[in-house]
Amino acid sequence: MPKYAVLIMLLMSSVLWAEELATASVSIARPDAIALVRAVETQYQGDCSHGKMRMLIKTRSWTRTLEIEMWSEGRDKLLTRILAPVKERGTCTLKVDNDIWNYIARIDRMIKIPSSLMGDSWMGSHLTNDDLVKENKIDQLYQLSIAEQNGDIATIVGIPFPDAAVVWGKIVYQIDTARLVPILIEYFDEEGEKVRSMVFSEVKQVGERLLPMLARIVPADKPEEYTEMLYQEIDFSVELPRDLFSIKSLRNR
Amino acid sequence: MDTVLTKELSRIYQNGAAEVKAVDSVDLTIESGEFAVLAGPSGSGKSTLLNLIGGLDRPTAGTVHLSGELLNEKTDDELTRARLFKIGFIFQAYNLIPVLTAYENVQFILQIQGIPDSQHADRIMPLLQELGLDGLEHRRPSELSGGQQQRVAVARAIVGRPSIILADEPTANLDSESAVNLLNMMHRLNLEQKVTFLFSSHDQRVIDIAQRIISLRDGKICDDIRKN
Amino acid sequence: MVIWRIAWRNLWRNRRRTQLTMGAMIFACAMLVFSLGYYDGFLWSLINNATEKENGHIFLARPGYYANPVLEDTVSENISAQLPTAVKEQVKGVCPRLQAYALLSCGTGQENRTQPSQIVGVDFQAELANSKLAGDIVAGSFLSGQQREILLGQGLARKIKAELGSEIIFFSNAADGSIASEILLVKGIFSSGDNLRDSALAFMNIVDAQQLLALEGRVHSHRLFLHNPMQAREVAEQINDHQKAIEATPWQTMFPQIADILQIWFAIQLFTVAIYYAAMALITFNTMYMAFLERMQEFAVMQAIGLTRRRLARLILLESLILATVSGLIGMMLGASLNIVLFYYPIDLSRWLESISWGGSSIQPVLFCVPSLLSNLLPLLAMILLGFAVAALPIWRLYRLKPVEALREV
Repeated sequence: MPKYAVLIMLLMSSVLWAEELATASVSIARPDAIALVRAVETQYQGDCSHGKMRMLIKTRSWTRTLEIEMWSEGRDKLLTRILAPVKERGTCTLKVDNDIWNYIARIDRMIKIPSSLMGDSWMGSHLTNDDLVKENKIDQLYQLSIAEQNGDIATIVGIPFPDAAVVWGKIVYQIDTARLVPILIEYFDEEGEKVRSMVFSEVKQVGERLLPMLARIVPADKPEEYTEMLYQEIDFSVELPRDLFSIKSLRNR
Repeated sequence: MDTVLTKELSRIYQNGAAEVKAVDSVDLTIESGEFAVLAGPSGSGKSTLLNLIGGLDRPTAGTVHLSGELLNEKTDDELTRARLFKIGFIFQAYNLIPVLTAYENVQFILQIQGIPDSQHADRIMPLLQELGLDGLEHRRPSELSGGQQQRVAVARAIVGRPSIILADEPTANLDSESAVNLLNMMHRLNLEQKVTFLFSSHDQRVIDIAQRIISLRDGKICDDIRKN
Repeated sequence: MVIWRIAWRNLWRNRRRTQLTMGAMIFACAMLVFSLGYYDGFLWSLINNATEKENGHIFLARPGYYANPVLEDTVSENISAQLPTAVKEQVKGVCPRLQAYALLSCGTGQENRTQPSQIVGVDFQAELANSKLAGDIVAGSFLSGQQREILLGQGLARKIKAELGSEIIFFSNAADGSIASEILLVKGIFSSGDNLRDSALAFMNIVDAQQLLALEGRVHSHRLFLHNPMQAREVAEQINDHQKAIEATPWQTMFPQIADILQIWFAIQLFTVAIYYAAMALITFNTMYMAFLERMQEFAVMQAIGLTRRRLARLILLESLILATVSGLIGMMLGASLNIVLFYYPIDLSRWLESISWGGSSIQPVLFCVPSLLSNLLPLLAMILLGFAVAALPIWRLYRLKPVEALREV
């Protein structure tokens, strides 16, 4: 089940999730939550991806579209680059382990995002920096359990362990266990109030996997706003240059 | 008409448990134009009788009529008004208002009587001349001798044209010459302007000059002599 | 009138006593005027310290912006047309401001330091004319209107290791959602005394900020400075009645603690007046009462020769009132002069005393007074009342006085 890896690496979320589920389901017929996560953890390393997506951001006062190219390696390395609009073309975000760097093409400068800003919006969208970073430790941070199995739809609830340093008070997933794709993720704060939700749709076959092509994030307190991410291309069979995920490469791209 | 008329007039002081009859059933009539003296030793009741007649004190019993008006029934303010218009006071200690000049002390009476300012000088200056005070009108009491002060007091008593002048031991603080001088002037005013005077005094000079001598002893009239 | 003459001359009978009494009364009155002026000055400082750097006396913005500032909630930078005429006369100056959240970053490679900051775009000329912002500069200089200038709070500069002339990377989202980025140069570093504020605050020219944030011609707020800050609430009401598209928030709402103080201020003033005059009354009452007692016999004579008690009472009252009023007027003039001098030339005591932060403002160790009608008239009024009070007992005695008894005391 656990696609949190996906959730966490927001940009890539749906892709990774599907992949995890696919592999997990091979070894575990009737998955229990933790076992599923563990399976994902161990088999996930080393995969590379390259893709393009269109990000549509709608807020109370403006709407804009970003075209983004992205690369990933495992769960620790991620690089995004804005292709459009032209004014922002070349602006990159690099994530390596827990660090995030932004390269601002217009002024040819790079800034490092400090850990205190992980809750901040990423590029004005409804994603946060934290979504890019907090990744591979979901099973260590949250107590996972299958709350409900309704036909092919499984509902899994994640509650943080008492001493875990986490952002959410609760996470709820809905997964299509037949096709092994995510349907919905809801995020709650410590008071149990829903903060935002992520909805997946347009499931497509990509190579051996089934992937939702569209993810939409809606903040609970501003239901008229959202951020939509639509994959235009995604390729898991790529070889990536060795120094791709480095500061030096940001400027050169 | 009688200027002063008292009937069975008494004034009793409470001195501890003892009653002191300062004035005891006095029947007295003073007529207009008289120049009379209440004579008698200290404590005989002269001053008390004078105060009763002047409306400064209230009788324990009996009545006082002043120019036909009964003083007994008047309120304090009415008595003050009666004193202003009907009585001129001359005190032993002169008692001029220290912050006013001689002229202003006299004028004071006209001002509180409400006499228009335009008439003041015409009424005051002849009076001061008559009393030998010309040239001194701008002096304050402290700049005047006792005799001069008492003459200012006389002018102040007369200027308001009262029915009667009550003078309580007016010569007691004066030297002999001043006293005689003062008495002569008052006598002249009596003769020429028909001003009625009632003194209280045990000064022989006063008694000598008076037309009528009313002797008091223990609050009673013991003798009433008119000279002719 | 002769009563006046007597009253006036009586005052000068015992010249020394009158002078001493008057001296004490003048001193008390002057001190009181000064104290009240100082209180007002203290309050003004409190208000000004609270308002001059931040929000002005009145904060004008879109309805709701003050409580919940949102980047997109802007108003026109031309505010003058939106104010009622009556209000304009009360306004000393207007400072437009644009406010945004941004990342400020300094240094390259691993030395790069980034801090989230409050960025305030200001009209440097308006700020120089109206606010004390420029007075906080501790290094470099204030904005001069040149392009790409930025002023950093001392704490912020320390955090991102920036110095004068350092290159600062500005990174944020503009009002249209686009990425706002610019390289700015540190023109000055300021310290307001509020470390928390200074560690996350920067100022830049409003024109630059408008361009960067895609808000040309727009501002978030106008801060009005009034000739009389005490009028802020009334002026704000006038604006709110007149203009629904903007919301005026007076400093009383922004700094309720100071407003609360103000509410009890009048009571404090009255209390002070009462204490002063209780002391004054004891001093002057005694001398004046003695002066009257000495003259009881004189009063008796006046009564005997025809002055009614009512007129005598008027005489006593007149004497007392002349003394009180003359003393009060002189004292008022002395105190007011002192206040005016200290208003224009406050005395700085910061060498001996430290300032204190309180209620969103700070209390500065400055001897500063504000002359006001109330602080001038209240002591005079109290002095006149004292005149009545001092006359009351002799008059009461007078009404019980029997002339014949007073005369006998010769």
